[in-house]
Amino acid sequence: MSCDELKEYYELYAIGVLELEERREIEEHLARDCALCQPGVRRARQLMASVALAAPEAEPPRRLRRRVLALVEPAAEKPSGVNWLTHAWATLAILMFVAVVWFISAGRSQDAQMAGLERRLTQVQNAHDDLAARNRLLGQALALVNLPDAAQLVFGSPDQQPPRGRVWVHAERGVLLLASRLPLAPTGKIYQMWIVPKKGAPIPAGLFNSDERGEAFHVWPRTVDVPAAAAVAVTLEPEGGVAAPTTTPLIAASF
Amino acid sequence: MLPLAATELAMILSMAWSAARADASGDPGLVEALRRRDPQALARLYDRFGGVVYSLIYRIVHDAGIAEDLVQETFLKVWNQAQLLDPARGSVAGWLLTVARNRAIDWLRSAAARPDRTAWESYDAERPANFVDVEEVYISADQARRVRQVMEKLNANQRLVIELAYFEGLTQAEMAEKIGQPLGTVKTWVRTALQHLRKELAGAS
Repeated sequence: MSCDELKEYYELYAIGVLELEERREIEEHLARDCALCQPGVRRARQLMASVALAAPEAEPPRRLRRRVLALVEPAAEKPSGVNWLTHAWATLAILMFVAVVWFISAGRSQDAQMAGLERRLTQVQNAHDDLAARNRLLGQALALVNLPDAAQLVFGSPDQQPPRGRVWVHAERGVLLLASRLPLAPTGKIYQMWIVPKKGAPIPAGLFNSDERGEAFHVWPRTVDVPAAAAVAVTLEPEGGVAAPTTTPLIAASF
Repeated sequence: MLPLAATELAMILSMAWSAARADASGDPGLVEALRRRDPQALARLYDRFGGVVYSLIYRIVHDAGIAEDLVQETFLKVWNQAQLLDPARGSVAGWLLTVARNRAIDWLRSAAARPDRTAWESYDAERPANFVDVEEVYISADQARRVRQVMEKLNANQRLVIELAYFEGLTQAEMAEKIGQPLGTVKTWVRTALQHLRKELAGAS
């Protein structure tokens, strides 16, 4: 077939629904770098990709963003010696608790009691997971604060509106932010930290919330280009975070 | 390092927030960041295209749970192969939407026990190199409205065959069998429908 005849089939080829005979013809032309078919098929691919927009809009569930981003989350750091020991003792405690639950439940067969114990076990496991995560964060924060070459920034002052606090920034260990008088984020919102470069758009640096007392603690354990950074800022954003800030900063700590 | 004066800080923040607004619309540097395997780039890619990718896959598979799995597979594939995309000449949206559609059509074919394309064909259609030297597929609410208007201008038979090809992955022979029409008639509908799409949408991106 000539290129002129084949051009009718470029789009069907691009979306993989062309019959075998015509498909082979186009592939032959592409294999010899045909000056007409190569760009023709490229344009057809682009044209057919835009047909995707004809699909009715469907709202993806919020959890899907977390699922997608979890694909590339850095693996959790290996616990240090002290953390490992804490972890081991906590695990042992849970195992003993499981054993006690098992012995008790063996003697008593009431389903309701068993369900209650299982709930309690889940609570203990959750509390342990929370503690382990908090412990890891505290370890990272302590390491940052103690580094002599970490830059220390201050924001807020007695004559200004809250919040107030400090930020430590280290090129290799990341950023630690401690804030007070920062109210709990409203429902559906979250605080997002940004590294603000001297030139260009702010770089997202993680999500956090304040506690009931208005105190916030956030660690961003990633490398930071300190010489290129001008400030660390915090904005209030929709839950799940955003790629670029949508509100003005509540906190801005300059270098 | 001396702390910045309040006015200097305000100026830098204002410039940075303006730059962020520019990036959110065009997002230059996104492909570069994906190639560097910057995890934040995946967040930017998802924030920009997650909705349209999910809508496309959901339109094909009609199942929210399956659609979520396939969206995840799509972004993982793009993440793993982003270094093959040319940041200066490649169309990341065109590639992403092609990967998404292929994932969904492959699932549909396997669920319907229809003959599948070979793994090589699927792989070949999704090569990032296929999306070099083409205009970026422009994704916005206005553009989506425009594509829907163009589809609505097709007559019912033309629209049906395009939807069967695009959202169900049927060949012309499979369409003819499904809707009980002669193959020649189906080919005529497909040809006229594609002529209309080329005329109305080519270069629209």
